[in-house]
Amino acid sequence: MGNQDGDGKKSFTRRDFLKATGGAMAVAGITTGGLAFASGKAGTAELPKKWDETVDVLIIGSGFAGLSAACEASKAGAKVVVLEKMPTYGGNSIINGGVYAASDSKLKLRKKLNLGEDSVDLHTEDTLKGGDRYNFPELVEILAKGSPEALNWMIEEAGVELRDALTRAGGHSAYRTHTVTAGIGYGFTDPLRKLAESRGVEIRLGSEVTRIWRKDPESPVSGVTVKRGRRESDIAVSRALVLASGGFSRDVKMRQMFNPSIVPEFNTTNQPGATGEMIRFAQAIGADTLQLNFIQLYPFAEPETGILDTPAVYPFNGVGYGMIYVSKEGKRFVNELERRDVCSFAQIKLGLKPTYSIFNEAMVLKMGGSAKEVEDGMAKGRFVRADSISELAAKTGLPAGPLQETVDKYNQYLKDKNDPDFKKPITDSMIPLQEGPFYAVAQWPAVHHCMGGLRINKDTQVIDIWGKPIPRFYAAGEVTGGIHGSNRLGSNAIPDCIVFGRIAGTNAAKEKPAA
Amino acid sequence: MNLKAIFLSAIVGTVVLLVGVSHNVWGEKPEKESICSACHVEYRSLLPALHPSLQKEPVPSCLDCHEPAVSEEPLTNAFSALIHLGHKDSADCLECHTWKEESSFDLPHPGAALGKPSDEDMHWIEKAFDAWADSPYLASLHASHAVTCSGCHGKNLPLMDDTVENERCLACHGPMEKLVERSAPQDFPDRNPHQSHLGEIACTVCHRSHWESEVYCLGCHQNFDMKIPGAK
Repeated sequence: MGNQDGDGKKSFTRRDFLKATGGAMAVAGITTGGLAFASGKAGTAELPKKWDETVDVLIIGSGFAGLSAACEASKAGAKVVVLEKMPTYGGNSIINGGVYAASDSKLKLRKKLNLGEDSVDLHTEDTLKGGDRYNFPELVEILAKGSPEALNWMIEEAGVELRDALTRAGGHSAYRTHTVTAGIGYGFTDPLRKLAESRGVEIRLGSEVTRIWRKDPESPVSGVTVKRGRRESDIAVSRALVLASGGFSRDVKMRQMFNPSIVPEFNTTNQPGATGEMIRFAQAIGADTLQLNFIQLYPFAEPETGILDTPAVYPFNGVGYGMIYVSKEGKRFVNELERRDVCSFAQIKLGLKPTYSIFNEAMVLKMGGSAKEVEDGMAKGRFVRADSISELAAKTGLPAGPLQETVDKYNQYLKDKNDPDFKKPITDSMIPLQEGPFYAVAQWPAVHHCMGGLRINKDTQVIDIWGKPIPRFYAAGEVTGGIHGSNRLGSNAIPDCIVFGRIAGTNAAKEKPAA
Repeated sequence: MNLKAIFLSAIVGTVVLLVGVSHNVWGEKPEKESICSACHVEYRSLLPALHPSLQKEPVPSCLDCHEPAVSEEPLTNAFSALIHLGHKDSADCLECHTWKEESSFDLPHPGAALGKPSDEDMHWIEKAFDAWADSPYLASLHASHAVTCSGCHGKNLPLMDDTVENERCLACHGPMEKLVERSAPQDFPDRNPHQSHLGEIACTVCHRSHWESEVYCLGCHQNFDMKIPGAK
């Protein structure tokens, strides 16, 4: 990482060389037997002799990062095409929980709702600490600093709307998690898609990249091969290729190659397209990767299918307002403000599936929930409601005595502002579980996010195995690594994608068009 | 005689009427005059029992009643639908049509150019026709309602990997609001596949005509009880 100045100089030299020899495309055109790292066939293949099409900025993936990159690159005047493998756009982003961590925004929710202090530095430190400092500070700083501005950008330019609530989520030491009004990632992706398309971006669905082309380890990326239906075509990039293709939580084999403990029996919150092959294609042209073993479990997925449905977001959003987690024995088992990995493994260690989040009516609006969501969740049997803790126990099958004891003890901890059992930092915003109606929602960990991925620098250039940026090659979002370290804090994913996606799009458009 | 057989025989008859009798419909004489009469010497007996009498001389053209359906608008009971239904079992397009690779696909007369399929396209067009003629998929369902290629694909033959835009489906099955209403689940209204958290998506994400349809929702929501025609 880093070493920007030196690398920048070198890539400039390479560009000059290409310019002098008639540009990358011409070089590609006259080369025979050139190296292309993209093949499993002993690493050799000829670059396409003729490209079917040339675009300025080609973006792989249509989630938060891809759409943000598309918005910025098209605004800068580049002809932008987004390739999406799936028949629908949005990847995991469109089904994401819709929560966004920012230390501030133009809405000033923290101040408005009197929820204490926060800062870019604190957000940076929380993120580093939450990732066990495996993350690179210079990247985390970009995330924390860029997050409020990126949120304002989405509000102002794309028309994104947020709920009038702010939560403190696991691993965060401040109330900084914003919730989109739609309560689901669609509330971000839809305005971003419309903004991108209004700027001339073309999103091609059902278009699967099967190869990235690069002549040799000194060359820029030339283009990609795309399979659409039964036809394959070769698309050249004139300015740059941006990978925004997400992680590989849905690929059991790849998961286990890097982390054998993520066994096939785990459910996943991810959509079927999250299979990570773009990481492999990038490796095949010399891209470096890191920390692919860091794979996150979402602690509160629907226990049977692993879906991250609307009720499954409540356990994440509720803890800052006093929600507790209990085992099947009716006992707390973790500091609820802990990171996702801690909450997940605390459940797995219990060995009794599922566990439950317990909250009351007073917490719902504060945590960014809504009465309608609660009613819908009730109808589906996801939320269980009761007027008393004992009734809640009866309805969920939890043991009434121990559950009542747990709640009574916990209410006392809130009064004492001290949690001797799990050392949860008690805040004034936490509501005791005294007044009903009370709610329970079942939860269990499911594979959720890949912290590792492609190595990038601050400009989102993809770095090769020799430590140099690969010319005309950018990446942003879950496909990259090094931003979240060993464990991503919840609600840091969207800012990661938006902030770095915008940087990637901006820088990709700045590249000089290949001659 | 079942309904299908009536239908088939009706169509076989119409071919003769078209080619043998009513040149004036197309304005010029076909290149292959014997194209139909080579197989069908006598056609009146092939008409279904319910078909209006054609005793009058000269025999009127099929196209006087059945439109050709080479327009952009989907038609039912169109001539081309009837004639294809009548020849569902003979899959060789070129028995009637003429084709020059990547240059033309035509009827044996000028003025009805149907696109420029390549050799590869033709391969898939034949497969697509097979699925239309007889398959458990939606194309076959369309065929049984006399909806032919142009009904979904418009004037030109679909080439390999062409898809059908939502507006085309909705021309018959729409408007969208009606579909949303029809597919609204009794139990959970927010589990409506036509109004989901994915926003507006292509009909073809789930509904495929020439191969197996698939409930896309089930890719994640494995425990949903959702079924659609043409799927497993």
